[in-house]
Amino acid sequence: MEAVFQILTYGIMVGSLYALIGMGFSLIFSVMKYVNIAQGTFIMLGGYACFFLFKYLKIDPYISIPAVMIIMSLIGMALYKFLFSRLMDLPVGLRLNNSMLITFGLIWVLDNLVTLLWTSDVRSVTTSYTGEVINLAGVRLSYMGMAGVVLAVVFITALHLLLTRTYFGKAVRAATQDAEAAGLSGINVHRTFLISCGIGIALAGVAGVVVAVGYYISPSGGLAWLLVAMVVVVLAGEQNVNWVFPAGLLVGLVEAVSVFVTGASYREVVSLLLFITVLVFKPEGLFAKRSRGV
Amino acid sequence: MLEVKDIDVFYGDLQALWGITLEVNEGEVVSLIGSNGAGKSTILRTISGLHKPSKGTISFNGKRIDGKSSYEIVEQGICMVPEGRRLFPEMSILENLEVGAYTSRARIEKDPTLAWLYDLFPILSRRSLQLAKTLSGGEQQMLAIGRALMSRPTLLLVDEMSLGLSPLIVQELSKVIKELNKSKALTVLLVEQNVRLALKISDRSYILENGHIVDHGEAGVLSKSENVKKAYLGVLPEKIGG
Amino acid sequence: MTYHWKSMLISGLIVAGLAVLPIVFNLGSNINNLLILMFVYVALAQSFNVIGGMALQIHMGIAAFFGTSAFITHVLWQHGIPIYLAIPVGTMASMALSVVIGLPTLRLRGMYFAIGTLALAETLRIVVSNVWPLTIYMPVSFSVNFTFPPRYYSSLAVAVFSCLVIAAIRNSKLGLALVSMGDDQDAAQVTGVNLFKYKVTALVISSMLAGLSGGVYCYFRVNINPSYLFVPLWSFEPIVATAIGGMGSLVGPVIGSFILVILSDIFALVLGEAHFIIFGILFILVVLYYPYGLMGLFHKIRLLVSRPAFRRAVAER
Repeated sequence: MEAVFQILTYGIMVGSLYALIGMGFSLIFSVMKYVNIAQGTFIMLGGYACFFLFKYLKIDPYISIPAVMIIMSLIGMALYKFLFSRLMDLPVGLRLNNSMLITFGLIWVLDNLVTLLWTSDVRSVTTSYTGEVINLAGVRLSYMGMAGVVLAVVFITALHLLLTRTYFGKAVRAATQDAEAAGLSGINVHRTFLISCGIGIALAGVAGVVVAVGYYISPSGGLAWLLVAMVVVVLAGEQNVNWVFPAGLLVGLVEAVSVFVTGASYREVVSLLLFITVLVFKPEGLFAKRSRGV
Repeated sequence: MLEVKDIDVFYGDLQALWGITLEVNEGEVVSLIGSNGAGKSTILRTISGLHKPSKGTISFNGKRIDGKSSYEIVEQGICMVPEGRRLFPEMSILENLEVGAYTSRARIEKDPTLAWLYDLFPILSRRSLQLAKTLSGGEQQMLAIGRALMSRPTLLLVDEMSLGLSPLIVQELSKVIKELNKSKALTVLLVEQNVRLALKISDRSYILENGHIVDHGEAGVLSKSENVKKAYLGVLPEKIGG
Repeated sequence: MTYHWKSMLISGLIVAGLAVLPIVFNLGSNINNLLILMFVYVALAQSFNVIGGMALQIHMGIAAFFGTSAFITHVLWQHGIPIYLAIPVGTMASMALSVVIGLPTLRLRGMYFAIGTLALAETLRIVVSNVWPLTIYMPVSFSVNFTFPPRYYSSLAVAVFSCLVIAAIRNSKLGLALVSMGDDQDAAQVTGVNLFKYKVTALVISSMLAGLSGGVYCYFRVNINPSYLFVPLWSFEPIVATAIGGMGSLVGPVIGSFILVILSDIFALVLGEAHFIIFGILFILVVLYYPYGLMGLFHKIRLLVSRPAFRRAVAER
């Protein structure tokens, strides 16, 4: 019985991180129809920001989150302004293709830039409370894991509220559903995309903090996280930013079970296989409704 | 109010409009008529900022607007009801209307405008929380017009309102447009394939063929012209009255 | 479709020149290494070109085909099978793999195809790296008896073969189908083009070329680390080479591979580590502003140059 709870809590903790990662990717993809393959690299960048803030300014990683978010959102907006906005005039199919190629070139540039600047050493943030756990009914809950869950819940809720309760959120949703009509209604679509991109990358930054604390960061570590993001987004369905959280939890739980059964070295394989299975049988996502436009 | 001077518009390498010149005066209802593919929608889309003319100018109340983005043009007071409605399918009626009032100018008066609009189109009020994609054709057209009106325009552009709608609904909607023009001094520039309808509700009309303006004049005069009758209204010699 | 005798003559001359090169000059190990690697890249780039360049279905998992063939070839070679038999068998293993994993992925479109193929290749890599983590060495005699010419000529042959395959495809029904798919998949489907059949064919051909490339690579390197054969690098570099050179063109991937291998070596001497960054930036700029790659640029320049002549000809009439 204890094992079940352990699996559950592990799954929820890992799943929350996955949901957070998927969130940033999904925002950029559903709003702008850009496939940001470099999302994993931005997660690493966020981790590096957190690491250096910790190392040189002694700022606790969780406290550094606002600073990391600001830095990453600026990077995200620059990304839109200099790269993504050039693709705006293309039809959606070509935009998807070209955004993949461009962000994939970006991985090359950024990964090697990071290696050049900070070497390919693997790093992680270790604080005084890093290994601490609390024992609840025989289940070991790590502080970091719980912090990760809290962060995921906070940011996903915040994003949801932003999208549904604010005027800007309405603009984002309108631009997602019909960018041209949004412009005709008086929305500055370019600025909306600019800010959305900033938010998407800022979310990658938050995920980077969690990764830096709980795992490790390295120049080439981004790809693995990218695949996670895509698994989550595919499960959630293209248009459904709402379903990213449950999708992330599902992936986390699947991984938890597989780690229990086959051991840690094959954990990525299981989620990848899940991903491939979903892609083949239901590419619109497990949670997608069959909706058509007006 | 609106002056279009000698514009050329290209789709890539393909020229769609040649030297289009037209004007809309305050308080008028002006229509653009012509067969499919003549370029009527292109003119409206260019005025709305979706295309940039390669030559010529477009001015609104003396200020040049050609080349500006669509949202800037909405801020100036011009709003288009696009062809095919182009509603936001996953958003409710209320949300669609709220988005219509996005510009700061319109947002201040959002609530009174909304109340007035619900008065005008009671169905929208009754179904305000329903998603746009679940509405019928006529309701969607009403919502599209409403969304454009939420931006408090002084010039309304209407692109192919009658497409896909039953004659009864089209009649209703055109009555509303005519009403708005008379009572609220809303200037209207509309594009219509239904020539009879267009000539009925407009004061003046321009006829387009293959990207060129081939004729223009008062609607009453045009409707009696032999060319128009033959080309667009069939060979029956009946008079078309207002 | 027409055959341009001028370009055929030029390509023939270039190939002949390359074939004669090691006989006339003593190339030395540096240049040999570079050229052989370039030939391997050419075949790999053409492998991507078939699906990704012509049909614009971005395949991010070519490493799976490359690695499988290289690995199987090596295993066979190690067990005494002569290399010229091992390579074809390794290639066939890749082709078999492409049918097995290709069939489900072919239902996918655009982004899902790209990340699906990437996911499959990564899965394969993780499994291989877990089961065979260590470098596999050939018996010492192979390293001692290592000479360049057989590697040079076999990789050159593979590179030339891959170009011939692309040329053949471009002039065939398959090529037409692939290009129409790249233009507009839905339209292609509606016109009755049997998309699935052509996609499978393209995938198998692609895996064949990648397999041949992997086989000669194994021959070239002699000792291999299995998981290195499957790293995403082998999927990515052909994409960069083809995009820079010109997607769907015959010569594009060759030029791209040349730039990637030869120029990057030169740049590496001058710029050191930074040369990867330069290449990444170059790649991004090409996709943004010259989506048809260097070949596209070349054609545009030719058009510009011939236009005044054309205008004159028209005016004189």
